[in-house]
Amino acid sequence: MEKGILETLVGVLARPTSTIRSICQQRPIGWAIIVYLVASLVSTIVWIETGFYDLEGMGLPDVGMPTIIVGSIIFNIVILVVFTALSHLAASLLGGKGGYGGLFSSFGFASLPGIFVAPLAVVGMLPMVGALLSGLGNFGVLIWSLALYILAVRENYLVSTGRAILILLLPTVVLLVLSGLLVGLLLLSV
Amino acid sequence: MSRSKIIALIIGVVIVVSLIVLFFGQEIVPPHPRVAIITLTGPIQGSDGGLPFPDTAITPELVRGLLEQAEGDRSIKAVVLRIDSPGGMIAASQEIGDMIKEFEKPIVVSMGDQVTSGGYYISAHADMIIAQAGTITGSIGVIFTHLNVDGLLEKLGIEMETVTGGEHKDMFVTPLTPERRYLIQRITDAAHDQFIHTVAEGRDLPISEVRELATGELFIGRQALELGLVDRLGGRQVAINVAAELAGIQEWVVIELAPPVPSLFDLFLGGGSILREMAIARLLGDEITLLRTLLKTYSLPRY
Repeated sequence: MEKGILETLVGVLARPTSTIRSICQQRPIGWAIIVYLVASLVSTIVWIETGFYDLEGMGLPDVGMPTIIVGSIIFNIVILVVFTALSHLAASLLGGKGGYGGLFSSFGFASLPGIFVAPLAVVGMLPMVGALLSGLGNFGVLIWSLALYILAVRENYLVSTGRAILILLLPTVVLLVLSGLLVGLLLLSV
Repeated sequence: MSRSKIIALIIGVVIVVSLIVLFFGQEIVPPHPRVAIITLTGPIQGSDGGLPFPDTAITPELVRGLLEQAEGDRSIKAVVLRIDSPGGMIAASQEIGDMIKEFEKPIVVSMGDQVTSGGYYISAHADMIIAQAGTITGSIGVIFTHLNVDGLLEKLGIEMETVTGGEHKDMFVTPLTPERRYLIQRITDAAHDQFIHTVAEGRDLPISEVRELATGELFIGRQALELGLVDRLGGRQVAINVAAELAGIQEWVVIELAPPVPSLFDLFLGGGSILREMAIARLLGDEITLLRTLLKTYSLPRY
């Protein structure tokens, strides 16, 4: 990378357009995986500590924190690979010109705002207003990440913002429709 | 050091400190005291048979999970059980009653429209019982409905021949003889006596007094208050205030403890799931499904 990793990380947060464009061109896949894993790891730890991953409550065996973390890392990597592939396919169908590596790298870096769920969870521990502030903050993080994902598609395929949103929506809609069909078939088969 | 490095360092420190606080926060900063509300609605059963509507029955498993959650959370200082139940199975009621008796934090029952029989049994060991003036409660008694399903079996073309090892092994499935009626009456009386002792112990009332009330009669909230079956009249908010008072806390946050979310397998294919019940109904037909439900519901004495 031309810039150091710390400058790139700060750039993703402070100057996203030019930094994401640079990531799409340089494709630092190794760093992207590390950033993505760190952000996923922070989220997973926060969810465990705040009781979001209540496996017993969900009727699943409580397998312990290390297993959840390892499982979550594998699951998140698979999701990143598959979602990038589906988005790449959607972009190709919609006339975008760009590589898988650039999208994968920029998606990895686009997950960076996810690390802020940790301080937001601490804010959530405050009495009375904590839950509200934390909820609003988490919503902000979600919107921020989504904006970075849209930026990643736009800069990688050099398409308009509207088309970038469409490219991201397509795989999501396809996955939802497939899930709906599966459940529908299950219901009809009984 | 460049500006980017300083910003990255600050963000890194904030994240690491946040994670440390999340891990050890409860030791560093005591959490704000909370009063937990647990809503228990429906008949009392040994296991729920109503997925995907798991809260349509009160089961020992459901109550255990929620009480353990409340006991394990140090920020929860007291619990309000919001109950609406017509009663149900005896052993299940006793299991739940024991859990409430052994629960270590203050626990207050807030009665809804109807808390009768087994519903009252499980309430009896709470530290306080709050009812509305119009709540229907009481029904301290035992009921056993003997079903004679011969007509239905005949209609279905089912002939049953029963071979038993033990003279009364089939006492619940054949027409009642005077002797068997006496045996079932003995079981019913014993369960009734257990109910009376539980109420006397839980409510700190003389057994003789409870025995006079334990006719199976229903009482409205105000009567129940006069008879000592409840402690105060009021709704959910009164119960929360009383629970907080018992816990000795001045300020608190109220949280609802919800039943666990069933797994997808349980939801669609597990015991009692709607799909499974639909499949059974389709395979067996309406009448056998009715027979199955009747035998399942009325096979034993109930509170």
